[in-house]
Amino acid sequence: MGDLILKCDGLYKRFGKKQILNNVSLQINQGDILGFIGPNGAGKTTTIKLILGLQKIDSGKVEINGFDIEKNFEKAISKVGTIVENPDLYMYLTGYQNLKLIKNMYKDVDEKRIDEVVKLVGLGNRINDKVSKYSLGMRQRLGIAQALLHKPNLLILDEPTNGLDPEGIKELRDLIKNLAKKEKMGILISSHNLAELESFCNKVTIIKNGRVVETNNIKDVKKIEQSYIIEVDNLKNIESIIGMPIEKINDTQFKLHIKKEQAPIVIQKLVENNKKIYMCAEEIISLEDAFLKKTGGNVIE
Amino acid sequence: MSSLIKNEITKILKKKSLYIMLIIIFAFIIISNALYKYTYSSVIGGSYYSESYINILEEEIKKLNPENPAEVGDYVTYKSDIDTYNLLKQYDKNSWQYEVILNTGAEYISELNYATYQEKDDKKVQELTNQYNSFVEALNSGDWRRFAEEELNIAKQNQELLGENTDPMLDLQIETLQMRLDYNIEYGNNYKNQALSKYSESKIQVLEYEGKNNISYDEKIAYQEAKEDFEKSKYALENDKDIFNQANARGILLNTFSEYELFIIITVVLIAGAIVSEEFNKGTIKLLLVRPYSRAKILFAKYVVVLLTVVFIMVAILIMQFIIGGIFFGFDSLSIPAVEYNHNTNSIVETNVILSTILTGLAKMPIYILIGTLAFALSTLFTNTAVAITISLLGYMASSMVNQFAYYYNLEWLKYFVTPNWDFTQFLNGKLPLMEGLNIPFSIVICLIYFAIMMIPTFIVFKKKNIKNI
Repeated sequence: MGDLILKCDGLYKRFGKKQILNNVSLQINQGDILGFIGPNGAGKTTTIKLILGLQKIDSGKVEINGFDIEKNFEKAISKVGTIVENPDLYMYLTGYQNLKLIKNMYKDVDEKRIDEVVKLVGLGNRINDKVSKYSLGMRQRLGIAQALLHKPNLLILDEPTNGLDPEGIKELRDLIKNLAKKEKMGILISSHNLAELESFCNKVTIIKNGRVVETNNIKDVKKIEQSYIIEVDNLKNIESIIGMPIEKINDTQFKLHIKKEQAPIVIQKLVENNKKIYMCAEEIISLEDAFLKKTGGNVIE
Repeated sequence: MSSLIKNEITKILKKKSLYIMLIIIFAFIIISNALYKYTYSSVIGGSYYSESYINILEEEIKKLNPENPAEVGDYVTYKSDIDTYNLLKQYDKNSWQYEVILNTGAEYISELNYATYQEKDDKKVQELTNQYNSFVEALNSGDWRRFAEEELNIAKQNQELLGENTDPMLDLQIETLQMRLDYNIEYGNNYKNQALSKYSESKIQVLEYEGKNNISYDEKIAYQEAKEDFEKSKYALENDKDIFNQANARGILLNTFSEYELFIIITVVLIAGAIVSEEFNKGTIKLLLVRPYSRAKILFAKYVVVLLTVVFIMVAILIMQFIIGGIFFGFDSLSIPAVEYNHNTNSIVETNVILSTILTGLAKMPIYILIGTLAFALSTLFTNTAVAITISLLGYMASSMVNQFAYYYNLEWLKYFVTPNWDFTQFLNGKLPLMEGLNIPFSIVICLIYFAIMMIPTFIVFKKKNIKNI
């Protein structure tokens, strides 16, 4: 675990009568890839906007690299790269001109770095085309390029896979994995699509209706409970044979909530009672299932 | 900070709207110069009788019988007009003969016709025919001074008849005739004659106002204008300089900022009205506000660019008019200085034409800056480009109405409004301003107050703004 980069402490935000955020806290250390997940309208984008100083914080505190975002904005934001919502760039400029505008705003970034970043995101020969001619995928790449230009140590990507096709999502995922490895930064990725985060986040924060439901390592989140699925010829007297309640799936399959070391004992009992065993498999629970369990479905209240 | 300003300039320069505006302005300046060149001169040098009018008279006169006492009056009138027309036709419209014919020849002709047809007095007819013939002879001899001297003699005789009494009009007539002879100004239609007639017209007014005891503020302004015309025309005559001409490179250049003011306003409003709101509409504001600059700095950089736009478009229009005017009319007239009468020192001030135009531009700059500031403020407060541009342009258009209200209805409280104050050309050369009680320090304070009223909320709102979903 590296140094603490981002620390959000008890964030509250209200728009009119609606309490958008309710005591949201999260942390990112160097090298972390934090998946910030929650259903639509849970407050992900609002949290990110508070972190970036785009909206005023009602109460609570955001510190980036030790600087308070509201009291010391210029210092706090200087090592942050971000895409908020869509990669909104100047459509009438070329990709290169867009990057140059951003380059101008940082003293220690030179033109070489632009070429470097362009290469990194793989925009190559299209960089001198106008952004208005780019596909969404290419704009997303340019968005990442502008976020990385000034070598930030905190990268905040808000729904970066929105509107991308499966291939684009895969490319983006590879790119981010690559980045986390190469450049030592903390990354925050928000998404409502869990399948794509699962493979490369090491931490997850789940938010629902403006409240953080759980923050944990991704492995721990998935370990809600372990279970095995077993297929036999028939389910007659099966509970009395095993000596514990089962969860019936269909006429031949059932689910058992047992630990790994109990599995051989159960199988032995079945064999001894002349049950034909066709299959016995550990059930791998996906992040999605875990998430749905935590949030109780995709409901906006 | 400078890199922020540089970025904002880049954004504007890469957009088409500025270039479209510049092309439109360029085309308009060409058209405007062409109109001055081809229409303005012919309006002044129009002929006295139209040909169709004479054709109608010729038709009518055929129906009349000069022997019939009931018709002879019309006959004489019509015939005199036709005769005068035929005589005029022989000379150029701008020649001195043309004017002399209208001044005296026409009278000779109608006297002759009256004697011939109505009085039928042979002896008188003979006398008048001789008079007419020697008149025509004198016309052809080319000696215009003879006519001027004759006029002068008649005027002097009239003056002697008055004896002890004086007639200022007669004095003025003698003075101008004497000037005509002294400065060798032949009759006709040219700038010297225009200056001469302006001289006598303005002197009448000056004398009239100087004769009054209690004069109102409006009359004071009118007196100043008359005095200015008088002194300027005197200068033009004494120095033989064509300073009143509006239709040459010099005249149009001096009027650049009033002639093309609307274009300056539109360009400034177009840019100022979009500079903040467009970033919101396109969502690019999010990427701008997550840079290591405070919001105040970002907004300030944008405002600096609005000010630069004002300067840029003023210089661009000045250069365009300079070149286009030079191409249409030649650059010669630009060597004649701009001539103003200073009411404080009571003296004529000569300035280089370009310098004088720039000075006018500087005096008008508060208008452009305040309108630009309005568009900028609305753009930031409402983040809606259309609203910012429309309201600012309407505001500019309404400003002249407000000023007229203030002027005609003498609404003194309106002097605390910004529009009577923002045009500082009204204070140049010690002139009396639009409204009584205005002066330069007062107007500066009023302009600054309105500036602050617009800018302070703009910066506060922008600093506190929540960047919502776009």
